[in-house]
Amino acid sequence: MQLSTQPGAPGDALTPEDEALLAEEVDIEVDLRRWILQLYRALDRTDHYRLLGVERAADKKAIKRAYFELAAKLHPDKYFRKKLGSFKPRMEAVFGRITLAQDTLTNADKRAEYDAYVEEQRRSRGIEELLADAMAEVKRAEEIAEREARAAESNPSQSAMKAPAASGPAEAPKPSAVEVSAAARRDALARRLLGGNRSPSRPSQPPVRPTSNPSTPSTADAMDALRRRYEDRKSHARAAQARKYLASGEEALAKGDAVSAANAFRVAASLLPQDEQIQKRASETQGRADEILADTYLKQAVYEEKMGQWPEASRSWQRVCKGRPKDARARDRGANAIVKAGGDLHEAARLAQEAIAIAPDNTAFRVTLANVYLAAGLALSARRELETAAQRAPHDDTIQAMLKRVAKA
Amino acid sequence: MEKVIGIDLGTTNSCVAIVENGVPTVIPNRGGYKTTPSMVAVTEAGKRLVGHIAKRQAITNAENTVYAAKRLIGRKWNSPQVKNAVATSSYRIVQGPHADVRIVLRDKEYSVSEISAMVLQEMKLIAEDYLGESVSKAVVTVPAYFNDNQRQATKDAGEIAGLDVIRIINEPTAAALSYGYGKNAEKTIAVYDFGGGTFDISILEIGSSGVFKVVATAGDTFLGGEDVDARIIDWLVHGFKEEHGIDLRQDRMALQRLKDAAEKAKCELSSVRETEVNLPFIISSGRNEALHLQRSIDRKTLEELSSDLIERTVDICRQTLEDAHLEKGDIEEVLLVGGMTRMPKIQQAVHDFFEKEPSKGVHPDESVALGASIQGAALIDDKQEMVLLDVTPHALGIMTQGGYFEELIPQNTTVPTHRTKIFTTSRDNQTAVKIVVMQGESERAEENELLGEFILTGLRRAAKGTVEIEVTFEINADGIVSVHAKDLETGKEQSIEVTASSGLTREEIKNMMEGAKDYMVERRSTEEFEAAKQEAERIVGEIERLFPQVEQIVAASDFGRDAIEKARAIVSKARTAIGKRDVAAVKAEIEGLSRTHRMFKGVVAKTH
Repeated sequence: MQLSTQPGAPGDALTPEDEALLAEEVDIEVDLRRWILQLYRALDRTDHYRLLGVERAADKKAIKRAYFELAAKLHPDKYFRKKLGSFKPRMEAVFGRITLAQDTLTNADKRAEYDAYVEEQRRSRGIEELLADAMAEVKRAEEIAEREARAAESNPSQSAMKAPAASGPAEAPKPSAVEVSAAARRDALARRLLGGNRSPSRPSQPPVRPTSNPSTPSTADAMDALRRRYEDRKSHARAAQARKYLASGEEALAKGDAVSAANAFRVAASLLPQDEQIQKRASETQGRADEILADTYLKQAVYEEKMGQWPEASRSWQRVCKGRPKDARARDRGANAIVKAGGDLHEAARLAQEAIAIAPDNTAFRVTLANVYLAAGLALSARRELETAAQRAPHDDTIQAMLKRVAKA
Repeated sequence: MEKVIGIDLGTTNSCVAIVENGVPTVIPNRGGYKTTPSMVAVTEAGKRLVGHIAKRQAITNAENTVYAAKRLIGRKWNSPQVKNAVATSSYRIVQGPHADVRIVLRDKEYSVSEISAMVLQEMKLIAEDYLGESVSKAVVTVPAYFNDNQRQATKDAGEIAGLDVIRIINEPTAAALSYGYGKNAEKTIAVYDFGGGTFDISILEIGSSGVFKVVATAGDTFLGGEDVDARIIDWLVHGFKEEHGIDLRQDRMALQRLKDAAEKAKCELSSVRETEVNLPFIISSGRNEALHLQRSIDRKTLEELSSDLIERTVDICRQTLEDAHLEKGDIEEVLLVGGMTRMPKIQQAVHDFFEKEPSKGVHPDESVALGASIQGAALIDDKQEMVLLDVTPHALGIMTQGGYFEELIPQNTTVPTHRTKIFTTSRDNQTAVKIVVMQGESERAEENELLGEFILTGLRRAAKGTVEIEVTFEINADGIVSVHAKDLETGKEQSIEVTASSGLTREEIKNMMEGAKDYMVERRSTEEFEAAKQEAERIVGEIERLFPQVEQIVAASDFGRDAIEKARAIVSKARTAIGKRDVAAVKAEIEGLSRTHRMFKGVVAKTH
């Protein structure tokens, strides 16, 4: 059997736990066992296309063929009344996923929706990676500033005699191989997000070292002066770094890349925490970046709701709420999704209450809150909420029906 | 490898098939017919009759002859379908001990599963006679739109009949298997299955690598040829009443004759344009004068009588395509299955709807059994390259507060499948949660079919709403629903298999199995006795024919008189054994009889 070349089979090596499972005594050939374990392990992180082993552009026929081929190997009937042990639920889980993948990709509407969803997922993941990178960027910028200040310290005129050929340039911030690839990835992501070119948000040239004139030292004073001079140099270096980030932030903003801009401003703001102007600029842009992120999560949440993926939908709605502090509907939907997913009902109640606080006249939001209460077994609170809703909308059938149900319970 | 038979347990006729050397074959019964009427009767002497023999005596024994038991299987006593059957059947239907349905034959109550078991047992016998070995495994078909209770009742019937029903499959799916088996075609097909009691429509995709995937299925479990017959009966009864002022329905025997005549006329009108219903002496008038029913019916009348029924099937087809997001043009082939599809008007309606000539590729009466045998072989034989991906025909869900139905697994979901739902407690320190599992499409729980209910116990004592139980509903490839519950905090787990209910307890099924076994033993020994008796009587006849000649020849000698005496003794002993219905004794006498016969023949031959 050439199972390693089967469609959808990831080439990953097995984890130690999987290796242990491989030893289970079942009526399945060992190669097939290995393949099932690999597929099962990959379910969480693979998309429908990769799972079925088809190209993004594959037509209906190719998708069906790939599905049938997999189904013919994975359907439990192939092992009728045989010993499958722990492989049975795994096979059924994989079978369920390939069936979902097939159903989705062979229906033009569902497929378009799914493709858009995957694209949004990719977008939000990219944005979040960029934002996460900003933290690392801040650290890097601070290190650079410090290094420069220190370099200026130890590298004044007298150091010319030592002049170790390698030391000077080596001190300069030189991105390691990892950093390079991270930066390249960020740029690629940013380009995709923007749909165009983007200059790297990080200053591309090594920062210029501030020059300083060393004065003659006199023990304590000299020590003090030395320290002050060091601090001075450091803050100079930080300011220089910050200016560069500010410039690149403005540049990104001009190009419409709010996410990169937010990143750059955030770095600048953390380098110069006392500069209110910069702080303001940073928080404004951050707000815009959050909105963009919220937008993509909104699209994901809508799709997840439609597919009945409530745990995913509740997470997405919560992220939408983060980026949109005034969005009542997002809170309402979020609360609803949490109830459906069986998630944290306190969080659901909080969101539903916020929605009502934002839009007190919307009775539908009160119905959601009542549903949250009901899910939590708080019939009295639910009834109170429904009665308020009924006062505002006396002819609403849903509310009346729910009131009846609550009364019965 | 053990053999698996495929049985199409039909409303009016049943059929059995087997895959032999890779070829699916229908097994004919002893009369040489490929289908056997699904009829069961008990004679005045208490003898059980199944099949053609039951059908032939139906008119004279209408009250004790069961037909169309499939329309009642797995149904509750208070369902409208049962009420309808009670009003129109010539046999007695009564309420069983579990709100189920029982049929009374000669003062004995039988469950519907038991009646169906008699038919299944007959099919098993037909297969065993043909194969010359005993058979214990079977795939049995049911209408696609049967719910789990009806499926379970059919499984129970198999068990009572001594069959391990390894899988229940849907009739239209089975027809598709027999159509696509070995073809290796990539096609989307529709199966229009209009049988004696039920209508089903299924859409399937046949893929390369031997995969058959059901895309959608729907139907009506109370819409079939029997309903068309009922329309003809109504028409005849109405006409008779207008003419003579007498309601024929009051007379069970007349009703049974009408039923026969209606079915016959319906079948005839598929090939001729006009036929005559002729039932002499159908009833006597108040003045003790015999009345006859004689009326001609033409095809157009039949079409008018059944047009709304046909329209209903077309509506279901339309809805099914819509639900499956398919256009008529996506359907590459339309198969016709079930006896009703012989009716030209139905073929026309199917043609008009799908805008396509229906395929002649499958036999309307045999393809379902053939498909069942194919599935049986595929499950048992590793070499068979065929996998059937079926769907659940009804949505599965639970009852929520206030009597609502919450759907968890939608209709037409490919099985195996599972869905997860989180439940929380609604009272403080609640230690148990009751979960009611239902099947159906209605929002109101009461309108759906109850599959089972169970109680999750041993929950942690805690404030209401804080205990979260993750409940997973699963349907496996066998169509069995199981529920798995897990306390998310403690990780404590419970598993329950939801067994649909046929309305019979395990104890009852066991007793019925014993009854069926006894019947088999009795029937086998009866057959053995009949065979021995026939053989003995044949030889006795020969001997008696030769007596006068032999007597004439040998009477002179003592030896001859002695031989004749001995011969008479043997004949008399054989007659006694036959009279006592003693199989062993009759068999024992056969050898002596044969010897005597040979000797007689020798004496006569020597003399001439």
